[in-house]
Formats: sequence, C-alpha cells, structure tokens
Amino acid sequence: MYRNSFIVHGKLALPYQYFAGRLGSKFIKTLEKEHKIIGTRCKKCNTVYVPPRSICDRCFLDIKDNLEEVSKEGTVLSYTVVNSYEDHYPERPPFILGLIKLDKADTPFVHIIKNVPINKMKSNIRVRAIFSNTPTDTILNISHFEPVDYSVFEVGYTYEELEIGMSASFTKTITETDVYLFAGISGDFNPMHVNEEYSKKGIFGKRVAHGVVPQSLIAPVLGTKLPGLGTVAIEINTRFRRPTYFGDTITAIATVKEKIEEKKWVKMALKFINQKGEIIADGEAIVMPPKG
Amino acid sequence: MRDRKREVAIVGVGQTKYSSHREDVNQPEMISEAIFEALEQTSLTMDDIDCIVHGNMELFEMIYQPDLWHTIGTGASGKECLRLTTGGTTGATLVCAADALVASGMHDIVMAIGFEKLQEGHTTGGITNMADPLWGRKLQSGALVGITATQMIEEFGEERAKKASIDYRIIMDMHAMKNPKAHRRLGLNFDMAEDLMNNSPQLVGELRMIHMCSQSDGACVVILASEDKAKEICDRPAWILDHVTVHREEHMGTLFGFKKEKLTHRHAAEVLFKRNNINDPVNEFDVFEMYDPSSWWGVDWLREFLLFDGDEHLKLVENREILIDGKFPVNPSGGVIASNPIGATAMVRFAEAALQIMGKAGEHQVKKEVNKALASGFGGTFWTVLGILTADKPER
Amino acid sequence: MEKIGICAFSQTSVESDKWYQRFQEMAFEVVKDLLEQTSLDFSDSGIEMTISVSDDVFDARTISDNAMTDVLGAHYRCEEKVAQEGLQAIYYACSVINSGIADVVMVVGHCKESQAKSRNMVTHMAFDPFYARPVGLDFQIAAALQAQTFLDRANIGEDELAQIVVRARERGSKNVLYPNLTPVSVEEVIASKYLAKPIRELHAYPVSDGAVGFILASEKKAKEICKDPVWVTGVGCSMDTYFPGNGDLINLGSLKKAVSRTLDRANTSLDSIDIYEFSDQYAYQLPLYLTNLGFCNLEDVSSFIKNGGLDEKNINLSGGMLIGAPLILGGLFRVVEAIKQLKGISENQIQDPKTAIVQSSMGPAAQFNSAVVLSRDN
Ligand SMILES: [Zn+2]
Repeated sequence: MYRNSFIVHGKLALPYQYFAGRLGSKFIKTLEKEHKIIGTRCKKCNTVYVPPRSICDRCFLDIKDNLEEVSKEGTVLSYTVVNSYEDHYPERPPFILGLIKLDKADTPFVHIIKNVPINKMKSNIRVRAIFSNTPTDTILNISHFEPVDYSVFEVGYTYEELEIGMSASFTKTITETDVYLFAGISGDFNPMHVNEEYSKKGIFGKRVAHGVVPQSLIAPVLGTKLPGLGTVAIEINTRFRRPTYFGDTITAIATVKEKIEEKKWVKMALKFINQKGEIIADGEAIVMPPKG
Repeated sequence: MRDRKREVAIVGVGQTKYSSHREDVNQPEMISEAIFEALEQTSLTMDDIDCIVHGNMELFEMIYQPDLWHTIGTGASGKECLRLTTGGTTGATLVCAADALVASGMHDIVMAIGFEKLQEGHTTGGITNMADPLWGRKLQSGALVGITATQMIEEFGEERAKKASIDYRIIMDMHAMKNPKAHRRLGLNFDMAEDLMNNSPQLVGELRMIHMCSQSDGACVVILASEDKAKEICDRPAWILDHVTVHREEHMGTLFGFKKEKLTHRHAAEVLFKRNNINDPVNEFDVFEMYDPSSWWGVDWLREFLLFDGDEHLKLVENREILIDGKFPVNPSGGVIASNPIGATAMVRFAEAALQIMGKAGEHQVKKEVNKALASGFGGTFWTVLGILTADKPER
Repeated sequence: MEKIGICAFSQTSVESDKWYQRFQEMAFEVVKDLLEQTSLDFSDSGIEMTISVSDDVFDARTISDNAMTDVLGAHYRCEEKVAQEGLQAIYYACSVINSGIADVVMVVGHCKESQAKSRNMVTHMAFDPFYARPVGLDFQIAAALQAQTFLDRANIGEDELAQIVVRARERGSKNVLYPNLTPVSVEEVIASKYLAKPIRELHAYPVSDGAVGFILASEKKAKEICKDPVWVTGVGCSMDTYFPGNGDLINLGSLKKAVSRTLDRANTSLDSIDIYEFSDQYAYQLPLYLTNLGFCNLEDVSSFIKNGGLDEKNINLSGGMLIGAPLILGGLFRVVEAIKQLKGISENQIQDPKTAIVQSSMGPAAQFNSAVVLSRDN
C-alpha cells in the first residue's frame, strides 16, 4: 500500500517528571502510610474535593489547608468495561473502570474495580477501597475497589432478558417427613395424609401428600432460577391432576409463556411431573422479574 | 495607522517567583499563584473575568491540551477560553490575542496566562523535536547556536565583542538583583567581567554558560480591559498602541547562519515604527523589555530592534546606557537571561513593560517617568512579536 | 458582534491513512485551493494573518507550526496557531477582524491521526499524571463513562445508537471526499466489538487524516472578495470543570453555555436555525447533546430518534462527525458541510436553508464546547 513513500519511524520518548505538589503528595502518602483517603473542603460552597485540590475552581479560593478524611466506601456513578488494548492501560482487557464517589466526598474519581463478574457490572453498586502493599507515588496506592456486598450481582433475568420459551426446573423426592412437617405448619392433620390404616379405605389406597407440598417446589424455580433472584410473584393458579405418594420424585417446571409489555410482567406456564412422567399438576403464574 | 473598534489596556499583572525548583506545587497550583496576585493587584474577582487565554509548549511537559486539566487552577470553568501556541513567542501571542478579544467588543476583561514548568520535562529534547524528522532532527542540537558570537567577533574584534556581551550579561544580573521574582540572581559586578568571559564553561565557541538564559518554572498572568473599564481598574493603565508578528521560513541556511537573511526583529521594528511614526526609538521609548535568550543575542538584537547599522548598539552597552538608570533602560526585570519559563517568557516582557508604565515595578522601577515602552517576544525559528505600550490612551 | 464573511472554503479528502502526504502537503492542497478561489495573496492588501489549527502531540513536533511557515504564507508575515478545537480559530478570527487589527484572515487546520500509534494514547496525555493517568484514562474511556450514565438514565438503547450510526454512514457515503466510508446495517453495528462498554467499534468516529481551511474577512472586504459570502454571525465557547470534577456527566453545562452565547451574539434562537451540525465523536453523543439542548428529553429521546426526529429537524444532514474528521478539526469539517447546505451544493441537500449552527467539543466527556452560527443572504 505504501508505494513510493517513505515512513520515518519516530518516538517521543522524552523523560518527564511531574510534581504532585505538597498537597497531592500528602494525599498519596496518607494513602500509603495510613490507608486513609483525604480531601479538601471549600468552606464557601462546601464542596469536598477528592483527590484534594488546592483551589476551589468554582469559588476561586485557596482551600489547601482544609483537609478532611472521607470514607473508604463509596458509590459507583458510572462504569465501563475496557475491551480494547492500549499500552497506557493499567490492566489487560477486559477490566472495569468505575467513576466512584466516596461517602463524604462531592467529586468522583475514576479507579479500577475488581472481583466483579464482568457481565454483571452495573452502576450504583457500593464499593470499598483496597489499599496497595507496594507504594506507587500515585493514586494506585489504592490498588483497586471491590464490592461491599456481592449479593447485588446475584440477580435473575430482567424483563428484557427473558424470552418466550425459556425454561427452568427443580426436582425433589417428597418424603414422609415433608408431609408431617407440613401438617405441623398448616395444622392440616387430615387422616388421608397422616393415617395409613384410614387411607387404605380411601380412593388413593394409601397416604398422599398435601396437594400444595409438591406444588410448592415451583417457589425455588421462580425465585432463584427463572426469572431468579429479585422476582416478585403476583399470582399463581394451579390445577391438581394426580396424587403424590410418599417417596415420589417431583419435578416443578416453569416456562416463559407471555411477556406483558405494559406492566413489564411475565406469565409463566407451570408443570409438575412425577418420576413416571405423569403430570400431577399444571397451571400458570404471573411474576414481576428483577429490574437488574 | 489602522482604526480599532476600541482601545485596550493592560490593567493588571501577576507573576510567580521564577525558579528551577517548584516541587512544592503541581501545574495548576503554580498557575493559580500568578492569578491570585493579578486579582489582588486589580481588586478584581474571578467573576469579573470574561475569558481566559492560555498557552505553553505541549511537549515540554507532555500534557495534551493542558488548559483542560489546568482549569482547576485557572478558574476557567464556565468561561470562554482560547488556547494558542507559537513557540517562544507564545506569551506575547497571548497578549495580542487578548488584545483582539477585548478590542473587538467580544469581551470587556480578558486574562492571559502563560506558563511553563520546565523542571518537569526535557527542554533540549523537546526543542530538538521541533526539527523536521525527515531532514533535520539529527542535525539540530537544542537551541544552543553560537553563530552570532562568531559573527560579532569577526565584525568588531574579539576583545570588544566579548566585553560587550559580558557587560550586557552583568547589567542583566544587576537588574535581576533588584527583581525578587527573577530566577537567577548571581550578584555579578563589572569587576568580574574578565574572569567570566574567559573562564565560564564554553558551549559553542565563545558562547559560554554564563551567557545563556536559564530554564525556569513559573507563570505570568496579564489582565486586559476595555477602555471603559481600564480606568476604573487601574489609575495608570498600560495602553496597547500596536503590535506586529513576523515569522520566517525555516531552512538550515538561515538557522545556522550560513546565509544572513534579514532578521525578523529588524523587519518587525521597521513595520511597527513606520506605522506608529517612531523615528528615534532610543529617545522615544523609555524602556525596552527584550526577549534575550543569551547575552550575545541581547547585544546583537539591540542593533536589529533599534534599526542601527554600525556599532551604536555596542556603544549603548559600553556606555552603560542600558542600565536601569541609563538613557535607554533594557530589561530592568533582568530579562530572559535571568528568568525563562518559556510559555510565559514573552508575556513577561509585556507584563514588565506594563508594570513600568503603571509605576508598579517596585525595586526595579525605572526612575524616570515611563510613557512609552517597547516589548519583544522571540521564538520558533527566528519569529518575533513586537509591541508598544503607552501611558496615554492612543489617539488614532 | 458584527458578522464576518467566509469567502472561500476548502478541504482535502478525509481518509484513515493519507500515507502519501505529509501534513504540510495536506495543508498546502487546501491553501492553494483557497488562493485560487479568491485570487488573494499574502500581502497587506491580501491575507494579513494566518491562523493554523493543529497540535504538537498529534504532529509529534514541538511548535509544529514552525514546519508550516512557508505553506501558510508567513515568511516575514504573521501566523498564529490555535492549539485547541478548530472552531476556536474562527472565534479568534472574529475577534481579530472585529477589532480592526486585520481585515482578511486565513484559517487552516490539519491533523494526521494516523501518525500516532493510537489516538487514545494521545488523549491519555490530557490527564493529570497523579490521579487519572495511572488508571489509564483517555478520552475514549471518559466517553464510555459518560455513555453508560446516559444509557442508565435516558430511555435509549443499542437499537437507537445503531440507527444513528447507520444514518450517518449512509449520508456520509454520498460524499466522495470520504472514500473509506462504507454503509453498515443495524445488525453490524450491534455486532461490532466493544472498545470500552457501552461504546462499540462502529459507534466511534473513524481514525482520520485531513486538512480544511477558510478565508474570512470583514463584511466590506468579504463582498469585494466574493459575490456570495456565507456569514459568521455568532461565535461562542465554554469550558467546564476538569473531568470528572463535575459528578453529573450528562448535564453538559459547557455545551449549553457555548450554544447560548453563540446564539446571543448572533441575536437569534435555536428554534430559528434551519440546520444543525453537531460534532458527535461517538454515537451516544448526538442524542446526549439533543437532550441537553431541549430537542427532546431523557424520556422521549428514543422515540425522537426512532421516529425520524433527526431528519425532521435537519440535524447532522452530512452524517456528522461519525463520518470522520480528526479530533481537533471536528468543528471545522462540520462548518464545511453547513456552508455547502447554505450554498445549495450538499450531497444531502435540503431545500433552501438560510441559517446553520455548528457545534464542536474537546476534552474528556465534552469538557470544552464551541459553536458558530452561519447564515446567508436571501
Ligand atoms: Zn467553593
């Protein structure tokens, strides 16, 4: 492509040494020695600048002596997942940079966020500074930030992420203990559930589980799998089809059936089958998926 | 001469102390020192400033578009801003631009900021990157060009030329000793001339270490105001009568003196003096703040700026007429040899000339009343900005 | 302010790598064309002053305009370099001409982004060395942080961003001076890889080399130089606080101030402008600017884009900066497109526009903004 055309390679590799100034040096040293984060307050507009500034550029006042400590925890106002490589990046992509505003500070700064699943990262999470063990003479005396509470990432599918046909299930064997515990919880000591001799004369010929015991297995499906954590159930309707005997293994299945655009709710088809593949119940539920 | 929409005056000046050691502040912090001084001198607040004009050499500190970061220290947030760079002349260019911004009626009060923090970078390396990567980068070695010394020695004899350049150097230091802002204040006197001119380390031929300008950190701020506002802000503002900018094409022949083409200094003076009916510059100007990167150039360039042909420039030096209390005071501030924060240096010339007119130069105030001052900037490959300031509001 | 006339305009092609030209040659192409169009020379009765636009870091030369003295006609004459977003050269020219210091000014901007290994490496250098450079900040990352905030808070998503890119490329592809530009589909945009999430490769303006220039003159001179000058009736700009000192990344104070100052000087309002050219370096910026300037709000920005609001309001008819322009010349290349519309010679011509506003931004997350208003005689 470069026919008849010289290219002279050059590199601007000049040495530079930048001075952080007394205030900046104090900030950086305090990070290193005391693991504390300090800012400066403008007493006129009350802004607390972190990293500290000598001058409030809104009021144009010298504020360098008004130092105060701010929190090591803060909120991520925005973030990016850096995906392309540049020599000046502190990490190999992909990595997360967040715009972080610490508690008690008014101005945010950008720093590295680690220990977050890349595809789960989002704004407004709470993070905490993790200090570096090796001094750097820069803000990297804070090595990075980490989430304060990891549970925020364990959310289920949002309305947008759910697609019709998506399905999830949970399987459990229903034991005598389950039935007796439920009898205790509900007060339903109907002899068809707890009296074997009585039940022999009934239509099922032996004891059966309470109808809602196998059906309750849909709760872990909707609440922890599909849509998953953060889901609120609005309505559940089921129809009993067959009895569940002690020792039967029941699978509860939920499938996305319809997306209700105006409410951002989802209608799920429910199905309960036993180890023989017989349907013991079916129905549907309306749920509000998590917002992300 | 041309009509202007309205007149403009320098009403305030602020400068940091010039120094090679400013580890105590970062760039915006250093700039703010000069701004606080200018605001205090004028009793203005940042709210009164309509526009900020900013400039320096990007590669000297390797900050891309540094006005963005510097906003922290310049107070530019929310204001109009213009950024210009023209090499060593930058500081003077900023004054010219601020002049235009006010004269046009676009703004009433404009603050021009020139700065450099040379300690943070590598100046000679930075200047070498000025040369063409294809043709010149391996040839040019910084700004250390000793050709002028050789030429002056050829023309005026070794003894006279060397004596003039060292006397010039000593006079600049005597001035710098009166200026607390000056960077290099060595306490030189005329008795040391013989020793200095023979024993100072040689750089290129007779260009010796002692002849050269310093490398300084520092910032200079000049506040310009419209004719309505100037008198309110300053009792005796320094009015901008006129200025001219003259560049010259780069080629190795002129740069290394193989071919002696007319210096832009002379061309600028011819244009400016003709436009403003200046016929006898030595008698018409009360002070000259000249961008003098070395004492050889200082002497030689007096000849160019004052449009001399013979040895009148040497006589001005030999007769000590360029001393602060002489007939034609040159650089009462100590000049560039004493302080050289490159992006600010040319602005300092205009600022110091303005202080002389305002009567606010302090210990280095010229004794006689200063009514008309000349100021020059130098940069690039022999580029010149030359301006005239007056105590009287210009009549056009 | 008193209007000044644009008597001539010229640009080179904008390409991703003009390997066959040095920046001087690129600029010379423009200068030669401007001189031919106007028959002016560099004299006191011709061009009195040249304002160049470039910057030392992209040029990799200290005082890079010293390499341009001859090209810009400044041998024993005046040249000054605006080392800022290019629209500021027009701003400066207005002050020089309105003050009476000069009557005729040439503005020439040039930049070869391809010279740098990476333009992000250049913009990385805009940040302070203590707090921002160590974590790797550059303008692209700052833009990504701003884009994420916008997507979090505004009713807009991938589809709308892709639609903006598709529209820009479709319009830009009609312009022969953008030979590297190809049309893309919504699917291709959404499938293009992330540079810095949420910014995708096709959301970013292409790496660009090019030069652009104008001859500007006082009203009286302009009429002597050409029959139908386009008038600059307003200029304005504003700086915002240093990124990210302003926590709210999507409230663009400097954009609003720059535009309102410009409109004030032009004595007009945003509604009365016929065409709008915004310098959108990334796809999210155009809708972000529009929400800040009141074309739509955070809730209805999606429907504004989807329902053809851009075409209806004559916004970025040229395709905007997404079709390419070196970073510091975004505004000047938009001025060319606005002039072409006003003169009726655009590839995307609409009927009879009389006024235009051009905006540009510089710095992380649009810290600095600049604008000009242009108009033509009836
Ligand atoms: Zn404040």
